[in-house]
Amino acid sequence: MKDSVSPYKGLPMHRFWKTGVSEQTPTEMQGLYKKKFAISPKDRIATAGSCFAQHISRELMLHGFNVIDEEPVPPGLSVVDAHRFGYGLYSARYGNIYHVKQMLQLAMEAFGEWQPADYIWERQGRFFDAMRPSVEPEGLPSPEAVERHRKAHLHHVRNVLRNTDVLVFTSGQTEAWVHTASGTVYPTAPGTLAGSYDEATHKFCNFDFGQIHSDFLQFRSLLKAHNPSVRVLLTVCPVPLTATAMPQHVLLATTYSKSVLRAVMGQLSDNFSDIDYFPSYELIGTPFSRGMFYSSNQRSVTQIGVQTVMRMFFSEHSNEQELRQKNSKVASTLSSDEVVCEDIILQSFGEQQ
Amino acid sequence: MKLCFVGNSHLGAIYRAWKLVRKEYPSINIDLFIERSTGVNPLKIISGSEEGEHITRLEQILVIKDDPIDVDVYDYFFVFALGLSIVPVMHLYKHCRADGHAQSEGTRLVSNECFHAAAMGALMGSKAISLARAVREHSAKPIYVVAQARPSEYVLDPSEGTVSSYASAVAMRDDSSLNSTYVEAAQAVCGPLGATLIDQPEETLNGSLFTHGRFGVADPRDCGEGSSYSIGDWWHMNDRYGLASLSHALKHLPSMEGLK
Repeated sequence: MKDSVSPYKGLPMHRFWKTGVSEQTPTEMQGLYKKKFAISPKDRIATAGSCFAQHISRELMLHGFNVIDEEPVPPGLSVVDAHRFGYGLYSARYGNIYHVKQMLQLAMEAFGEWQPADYIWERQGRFFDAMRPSVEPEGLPSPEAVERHRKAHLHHVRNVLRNTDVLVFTSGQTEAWVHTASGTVYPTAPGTLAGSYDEATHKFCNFDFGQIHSDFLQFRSLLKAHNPSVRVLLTVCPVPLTATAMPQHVLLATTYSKSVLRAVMGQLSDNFSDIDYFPSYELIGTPFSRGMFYSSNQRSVTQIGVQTVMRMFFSEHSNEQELRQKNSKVASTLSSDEVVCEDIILQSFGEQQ
Repeated sequence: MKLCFVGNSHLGAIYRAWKLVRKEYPSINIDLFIERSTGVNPLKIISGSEEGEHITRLEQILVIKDDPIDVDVYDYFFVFALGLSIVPVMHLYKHCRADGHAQSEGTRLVSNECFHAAAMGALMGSKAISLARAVREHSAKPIYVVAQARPSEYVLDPSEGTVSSYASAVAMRDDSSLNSTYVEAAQAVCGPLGATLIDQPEETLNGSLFTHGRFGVADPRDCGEGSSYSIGDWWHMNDRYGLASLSHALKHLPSMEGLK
């Protein structure tokens, strides 16, 4: 009689939950990430995405990677004020980009293929760029000023997209608020930072797999048309939703959001050799870490969590010798650990009830 | 009345002026502490007990004397220049233009609020404010922050280089607005420390951004090799300025009546 053969026989230890997870220490995890392509300190890296992307951006800069800073901090501006005005967070001053559709629209706008609708929001006589409402905390004096600033910003976005070798994009969530007539996706709900919600003008949208996947493919095509050699490193933000507009528990909404994003990112990475997936979400946000990388609100990622994630990244991408030789220019804007997250403002609406 | 004057090379003109007029102020005793431009010792505060006395001292920041500054023995503190000047605001203007400024190629557009915050941040980071803060932490005595003179009007003479932003500001008619930003920011950083800003004497000003050339060490009539004009020292002022600035500063003392 022939011995039974299992396809699992002889697989490496990390393929099994017991040896790959149960018996592992979250801070010392090995083998979770294997790079698909190398990122060298010479590569020009652009960063964009949801709140957690700020941590990635900062850590890359601190480790001497060549992170593009197209809109540098004005001389003299303190760290706190720099972040308040949206400087030093990402490669350009676009604020948090929570949705793939937002990234697509930003790229299309930068390359002159699209224009947002109803993007100037007002609050108490001041005017805000609805596509990045947090970067001017006090708003601007006129709608014309918003247009002027946006035009200048788009010039920098174009430079970022054209010149980057590697785009690191962290997708945040699936829930968005949309201008119904035009399909313009906003990073925050109207009426949160500025503007006002009007159910005749705005609608809620919870993107599904197909929409997000399709949006990313369109974004990739556009990006490649202007920057053929660009590679993309995708991550999913492990920070749960602050609030949901879905008629369900926020935990269910978070699980849906992250699951869909994770599935899209995984398929993109499987299908394209120039797209890699970096599992920061798995390390921080799954049972494996036993919640140890979240602070007491079970939402914010602790510094140890960030360091553990980045150690995993640098174990694959760091070339210590090259980094040492490089005269790393670390901006003074990196000393603050705080991340800027408009999303958290939603919490205040919950507290009023 | 004991006054403590602390500053950098810009205190030189005051020092020379004081030597000329000290006899006119018999009730005033001024100790001057001047930072060396090549010094390396950082500012340190010594606070604690020594031989049974409670003392608080500012260890000299690169000064010409060896003794530390004992903050307890002075009635008034004057902090001169040490980075409190319009220079960082002009540096900011060189790179960034606020909404209210004329726009220029090669500069980045920022909001008025951001420009003002950056100007404040630059001045907040000056050694003058660090020193004033250190004094305030150890003394309730009055502190005056005496701003560095604006550059000599001859800063407009070079057609290019690092000072080109001054000519640009004048050409774009942004000079008045920049001066307002500077003065507001300087007052804003002094205020929380309970320190009083003393700007340069009105009669020494040429417009918003400059000091009359006659008060500067640079003189276009002397442009020989190594002269202040030829090396582009638009920043330091002469004895005439020192006298005007000293007189202006002392007028701020509440008890000046009858001292002279």
